[in-house]
Amino acid sequence: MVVGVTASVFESAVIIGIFTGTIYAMMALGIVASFRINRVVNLGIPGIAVFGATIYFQMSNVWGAPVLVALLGGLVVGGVVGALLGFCNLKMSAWPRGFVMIFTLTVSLFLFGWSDKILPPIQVSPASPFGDSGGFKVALTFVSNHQIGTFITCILVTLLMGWVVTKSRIGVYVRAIYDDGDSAATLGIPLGYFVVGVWAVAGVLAALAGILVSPRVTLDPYLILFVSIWALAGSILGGLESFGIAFVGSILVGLSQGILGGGLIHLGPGLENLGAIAVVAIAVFYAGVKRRDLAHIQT
Amino acid sequence: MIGTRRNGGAAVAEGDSSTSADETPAQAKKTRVGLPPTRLILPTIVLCLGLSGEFILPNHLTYAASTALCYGLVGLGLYLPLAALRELPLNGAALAGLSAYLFAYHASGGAANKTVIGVLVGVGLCTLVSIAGGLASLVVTGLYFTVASLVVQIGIEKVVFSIGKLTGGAAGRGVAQPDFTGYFNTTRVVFLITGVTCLVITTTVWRVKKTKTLSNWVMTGHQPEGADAVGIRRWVQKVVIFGLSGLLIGVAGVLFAFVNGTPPPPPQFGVIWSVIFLAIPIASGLRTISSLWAVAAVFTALPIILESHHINPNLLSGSILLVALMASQSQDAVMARIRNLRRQPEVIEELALAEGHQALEEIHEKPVLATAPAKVKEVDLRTKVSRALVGTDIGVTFGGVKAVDGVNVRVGPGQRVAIVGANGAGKTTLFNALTGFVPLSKGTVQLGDVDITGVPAYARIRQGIGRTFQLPRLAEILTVRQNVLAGQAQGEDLIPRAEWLMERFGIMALADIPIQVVPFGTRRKVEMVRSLARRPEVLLIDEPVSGLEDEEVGELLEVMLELQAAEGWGLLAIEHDLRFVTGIAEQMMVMVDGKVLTEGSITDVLADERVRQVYLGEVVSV
Repeated sequence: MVVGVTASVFESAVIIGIFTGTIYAMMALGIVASFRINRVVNLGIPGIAVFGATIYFQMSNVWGAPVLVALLGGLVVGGVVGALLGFCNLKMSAWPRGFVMIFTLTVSLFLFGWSDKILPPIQVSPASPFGDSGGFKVALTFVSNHQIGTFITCILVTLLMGWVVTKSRIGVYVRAIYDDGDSAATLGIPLGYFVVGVWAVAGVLAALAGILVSPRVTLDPYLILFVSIWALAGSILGGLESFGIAFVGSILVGLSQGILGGGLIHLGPGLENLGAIAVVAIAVFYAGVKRRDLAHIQT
Repeated sequence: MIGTRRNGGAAVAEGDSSTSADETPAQAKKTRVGLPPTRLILPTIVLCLGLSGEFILPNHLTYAASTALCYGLVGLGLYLPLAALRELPLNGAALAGLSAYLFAYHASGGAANKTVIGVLVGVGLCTLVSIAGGLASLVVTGLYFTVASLVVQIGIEKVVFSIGKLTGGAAGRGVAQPDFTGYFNTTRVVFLITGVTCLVITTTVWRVKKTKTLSNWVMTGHQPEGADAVGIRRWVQKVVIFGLSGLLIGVAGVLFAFVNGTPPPPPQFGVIWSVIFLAIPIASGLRTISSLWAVAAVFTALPIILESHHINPNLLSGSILLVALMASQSQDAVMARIRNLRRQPEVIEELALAEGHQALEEIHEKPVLATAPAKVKEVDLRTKVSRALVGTDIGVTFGGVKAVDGVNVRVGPGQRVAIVGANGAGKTTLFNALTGFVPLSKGTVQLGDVDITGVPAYARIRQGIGRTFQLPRLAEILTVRQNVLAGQAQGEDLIPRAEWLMERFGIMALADIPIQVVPFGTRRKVEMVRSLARRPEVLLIDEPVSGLEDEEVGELLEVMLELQAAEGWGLLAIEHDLRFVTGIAEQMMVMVDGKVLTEGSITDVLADERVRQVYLGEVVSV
């Protein structure tokens, strides 16, 4: 009986971990998309996520628009902000990448501030696009339709993005620009359109992440900022280049929080994050060393 | 022909008659100009701001000024790894918080000994964590380092700051402050103590910046392989920089607690604050320390000025960051405009770039010297006892690829050996293997009788191996002279020899010009001078004449041959230019696919039909 309960607890921890990881993965896809074109870590993703979710909330909960229309509104706004950010990136091509990264963070702060002005002064959770009710129980955990919908959406988007980058003509152009922008331009690839376009796609993914994440964690900028930091850590496992590895890395972070956190929380408050931090630290070092060795070979 | 050699010595320029015998022309020019008065404006303003905080400002603004000093100190701590190593640490706030809470935890009793223990524990642990970060940056750099530091920030924020016993919960732990009333009340005395602490630290950092240590730091961060090539122990430099950085941030953390009377709550040490702290040195343009303090003052003053407008804190932080970034990126343009308005072309440092171009024109007319200048100072060029560099059965593997496979190479004292081969033949990898820049999969390397197989690159350089790179590894923001003298060991005086070599290679006029404005060919000469300045026993040069004009190749050849004949070091050169190869080498080695195709005297090797095929790009199997 005890073994049965322990097994159920473990299964629940795994399920919680996977769905937490899915939330990170949604955010990680946007980070990878923007890095995949000009090697800038887009810290504007949490801002766009919050702003996209705010628009979605405003349209669906305040103005009473149908969920699909509100979803479209949130995604379009995310895409536009992403495109603007991409355009700024073009203008900042001479800046050190670290500085551009900090610039993207300023955009997040602006969007957080703007969202604060739009949203009511209490914590809100927008309605889920997959419905607020329904679901089933696995082990000791209730799995909602929203979680299942988010998980499936995340996998579909990961597969789609992976296919576009590796199989399509657009993907070839994107990889060419990523490898050497100047050389790609000499081949006639319109650098500006692609950078703006890919950052717009990253904006759409960020807004989608915000819309799918906020029903779970509430529409709080700082909670979503922390989600994006875990997402960044998860995506760095694949060198910020691979959608697939970013997905797996994010799930790994979620799992480590679910499984290790579940055990460590009894040791003291705050320690539930210790396992995830250790996993992320190992991942960052592994990825960094791998990248260094690769650079050595290329030299 | 080495100019006027006398008594076993050689010649160095004394400069023109208007300068003293020991001064270089650039030094003389600098002496005449002196410190430009414009350089004193900002430090004066910062000092005046500090004094006004003590004597003029109302209490609440004096408190704000104390906070600004704490911000500035964290910014100064982050400035060191950022400017010297080009690493962006995103954990400044967490480190400051860690120090503040540890200090308050120990000092909350109020006793003097507890306060001292609190300072030591807080600052000490902060320094240790920062040093650990520095050691980590030997393994992961750039983006990965930034993310690793972010992980440290989150770790401290989520785990350590959630321990209520440490942070003191919502009320926090009180820290003793001096009790004064009247005009010089507690707030002003706290500001005085904070200000004096910051002044002492700033002066120390400023003094350190003026020493040769700066060149070593910059070389370590900007050109790691270049640092190895001049014998700099990179890990030591990183430990020192990050240790100093952690120390400053730790002191700032203690001051945060001291100024407030209790450490600020954990959100004040959150990730957003790490970014804001990092924005302080970035906005200052990473140039002068006084500009950093000015930015810290502005960062603190803006929220106070805008307080009545009830601006959203996120919008405010975003605006401050944005202004900081724009200011840092447009600083050059603004300064150029100010200079044009003032028309002060004599300010040497501010016009370094413009002077670079002028000096380059001079250098173009005055290439490598075939003869020494008329007025000379003696430099010892006597033959040094050199040892042979011997590589036996060298193998280097990258993944499954054998880049070098079973190569034997020997360069004895006074010998000149050239390695030729197509691109990808493994020539540079062999160089890297001999000098310790890549690990061997098999084989041994010896310098004389000493086995140096497992010895790190910097230590091999110190033992007497000199090398240059296919693409010169020079720190762009350092001057020619600083690049040449970087890595100078304690008690070692490279200056006379380095200056003599710079004169011989025709780059003396560029000595005080930043590398970023000198052309590729000149960079090669700088790197050559840098290696030769250390009196190597064996010199390895990788494509030394690529990027040089035909005329310069001949002149370089002449100087190299004469120096080598005079000093007796062994020379191993990789070169595609057959004219240079035949001119400089006695022995030749041809490599194909990581193996030696043939070797021997240069005439025999060049007569080999297979060598001709290699040069024509035909497939030749070993």
